[in-house]
Amino acid sequence: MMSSWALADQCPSGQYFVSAYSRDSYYRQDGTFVKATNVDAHCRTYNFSSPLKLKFEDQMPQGWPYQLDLFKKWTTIEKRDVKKALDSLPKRLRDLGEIKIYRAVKSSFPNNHASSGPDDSVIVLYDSAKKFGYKQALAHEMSHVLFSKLSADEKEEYYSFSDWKQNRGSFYTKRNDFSESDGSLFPEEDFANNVEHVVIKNGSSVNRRISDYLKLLLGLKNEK
Amino acid sequence: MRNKIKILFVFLLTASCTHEKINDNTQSEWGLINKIESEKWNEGKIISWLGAPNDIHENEKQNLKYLIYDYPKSNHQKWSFEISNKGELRNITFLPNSSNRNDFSSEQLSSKWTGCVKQKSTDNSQHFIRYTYSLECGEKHKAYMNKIGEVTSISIEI
Repeated sequence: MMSSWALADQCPSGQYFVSAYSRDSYYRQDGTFVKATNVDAHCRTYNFSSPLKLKFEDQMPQGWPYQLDLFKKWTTIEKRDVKKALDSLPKRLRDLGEIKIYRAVKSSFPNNHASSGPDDSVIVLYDSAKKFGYKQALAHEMSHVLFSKLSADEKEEYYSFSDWKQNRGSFYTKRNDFSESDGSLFPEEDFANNVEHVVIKNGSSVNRRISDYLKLLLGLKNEK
Repeated sequence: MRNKIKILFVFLLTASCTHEKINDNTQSEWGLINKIESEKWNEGKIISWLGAPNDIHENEKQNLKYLIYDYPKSNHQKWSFEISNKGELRNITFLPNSSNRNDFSSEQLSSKWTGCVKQKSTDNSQHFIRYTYSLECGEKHKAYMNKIGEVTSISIEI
């Protein structure tokens, strides 16, 4: 594990750490036989990375389930401030392709400044997001989008570092240290809270092992 | 001539055994899953075969426990066996990884299990919309997938 962490610290920008694993022999679809092997820990290129393409929208997103949300138009200043906040995020958290971003008055969830439909790359910012901080709100919601774009292997790496287990498709953890209390509900929320804290507060409230892993995933240790 | 026949026989025998071993390796995961399911292994049999679990999670509310086994090198989760308070196996959860994901594609599952239908369910209970993608193959077989169709786990009811 010590040698793996040493390698993990050396992954270049645009790549992330993959733990060692054993691969059984198998036949490729074209019939080629591949013998069993041990794959050492290594760095791998991110599964998804595409320059940010921001689309400001004014109407309720199609199929939006939170029907009580009142949507409104963006002001020029708000658009400017949101772009500035996104530009200040780590590249890995920013380059997630097309993001449709909406503006609404107030969330139906108490003390909630932003919502998202991660699989559809949709983010909604409410009035309170400005006072909360656009950068922090967007760090959280963009983390949800990033998590949705992680491959199965990338997610398994996070689950391993953050001690999430699965049974019958449901997730649970024995951990009792969460950067935010609702992180105990789902690994996606745990991920988004932890990334938010790593980006905004340098991970001071985040389990050290998870914080170090997320900094690698986000390229923060190598970012100049 | 007799020696040549002996050599040929030994060669054919070796080739046959090697081929069988290769097939065992490529199909070992499915072989074990099918064996556990069809023979309805209990807690004792699972532990005697796979060794002590890497972790045990107690679900006190439902009087269940989960035996967790990890892939040896990566420490990523590989199995979860749901065990009743009588030591009976209730559910097998298996998580493919890079080493065997080709054997657990949705196409492979649809060919091994019958009546498979893709489903997508929505959870709006949080401030973010949470979709669950699954392949439902009758009452006892289910696979969970991610947005791009990779199978992330399979769940088998016993």
